[in-house]
Amino acid sequence: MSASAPSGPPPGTYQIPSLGWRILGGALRLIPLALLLIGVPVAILTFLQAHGINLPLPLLTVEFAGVVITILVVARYVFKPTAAYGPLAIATAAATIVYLYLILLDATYRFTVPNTGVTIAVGYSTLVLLLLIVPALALAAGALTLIEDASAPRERWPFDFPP
Amino acid sequence: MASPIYHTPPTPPGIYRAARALRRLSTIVLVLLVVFVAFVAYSAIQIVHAQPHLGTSNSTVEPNDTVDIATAFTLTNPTYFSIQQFALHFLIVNATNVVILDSRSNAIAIPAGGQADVPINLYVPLSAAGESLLTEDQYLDWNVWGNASYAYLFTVSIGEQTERAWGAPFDDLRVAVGAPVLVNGAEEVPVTVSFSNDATFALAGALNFQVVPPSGPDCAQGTFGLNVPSQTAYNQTQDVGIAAGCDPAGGEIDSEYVGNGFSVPLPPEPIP
Repeated sequence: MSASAPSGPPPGTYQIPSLGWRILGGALRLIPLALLLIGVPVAILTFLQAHGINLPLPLLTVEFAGVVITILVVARYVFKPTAAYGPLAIATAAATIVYLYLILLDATYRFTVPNTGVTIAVGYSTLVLLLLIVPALALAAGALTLIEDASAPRERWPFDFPP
Repeated sequence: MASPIYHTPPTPPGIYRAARALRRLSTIVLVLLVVFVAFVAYSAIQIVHAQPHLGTSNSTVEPNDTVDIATAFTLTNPTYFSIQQFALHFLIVNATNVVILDSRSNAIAIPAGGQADVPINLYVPLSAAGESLLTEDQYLDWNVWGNASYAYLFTVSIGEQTERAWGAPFDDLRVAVGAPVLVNGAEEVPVTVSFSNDATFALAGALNFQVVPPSGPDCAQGTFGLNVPSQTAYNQTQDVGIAAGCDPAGGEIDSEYVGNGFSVPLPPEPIP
C-alpha cells in the first residue's frame, strides 16, 4: 500500500479563476497601465520637446521601458496561480529599477526662456531615489513568494484565491 | 462536533504574510509619493507670485583697491514649502572675455510664506583684470545664477545673462605735458589732466602724479585736488617745476588717485 504525499491545500479552500478569465482581467489592466506608463509620459515628453525643451531620456527608451513593464505586470497577473508568479514579480521590479536608474543618470530638465537670457534647470534625483523604494520592496516581496512557491507549492492559493 | 458553517479561517504562513506586507508597503509608499509630489507641484505653481527683484546697484571705491558694487536680491516664497540652500553666484566678464569677478553669496533658507533679502556686495579689483574699469566705459556681461532646493525633493537653478553698462570714474583719462617754459629762471612744464567721471559715485580726494623721463630720476611731481561729482567732466592744467636739464619727452606720467585713506594707481600715460 502506498500513501501519496499531500500536494497542496485541500479542494474547496480556494477558487482559481480560469486562464480565460485571468487573460481578460490582464487585458483590462493593460489599458490603464499602457496609458500610465506609455501614453501619458510620451505625451508629456513630446509636448516638452515641441517647446524646445531637451529631454534627458530618449523618447524611445520611455516607450520601450513602458511596454516591457506593462507586459510584465499583465503576465504577473495572468500567471499568479503558477510558480512563474515569483520570478515574474522579480522581473517586473527589476525592470522598474533599471528604468528608474536610467532616469536617475540625468535627472535634470534644462530649458531656456526665449528672448530673456534666462535658463532654468530642475533636478529631481531625490524623487527618483525615493521612487526606487517602491520596486525594491516589490522585488523583496517577489523573492519571498519565489521561496514560498519552491518550499510549499500552492500553499498561498487559499489566501490569494479565497473561495 | 464542529459546525461546518463557523469554521476558523486558516492563518497564512509567515512567509506569505511577509511578502503581502512588503507589497502593501510598496503600494503605500507609491501612493504617498504621488500625493506628495502632486501637492509640491501645486504649491510650486504659487512661485509665479514670488516677484523676485534685483535692486539697483551702487558702486563705491573701497580702501583695498576694489570697487564695491552693492545691490540686494529680494525673493518672496508664497508656496507651502521652504526653499533651502538658496544661493547666488555672480560671474562678471568684460568685453574681452576677461573674468572681472567670480563670487558666491552665502546659502540661506526662505521659509514658506516668508521673504528674504540677500545683500550682495561684489568687490571688483581695480588692478590686473579690473584695471580697465577705472578708465574705460564699457559693457559688462553679468551672469547670475540662483540655486536652491525645494520641498526636499527638487533642485532648481535659474540663470540669467544680462549686459550692464559700466561708467568708469576716470573715463578717457589724459595726462598731458606741455613744452617747458622759463618762469623766473626756473623751468616749468604745464601738466593737464582731463577725464570724465562716468561712475555712479563722486570723486573726492587728490590725483598725485610724477613726470618720469625715459631714464634718470623723476623730473617733477604735483597734485590735483579733485572734487568731481558723478557724470561730470574734469579738465585742469597746473604748472610744475622740473629738475634742471630734465627732458620728459619719451617718458611717462605715473599717477594715482588718493581718496579718504586709500589710493588707487592709475594706468601710466606716455609722454610723446
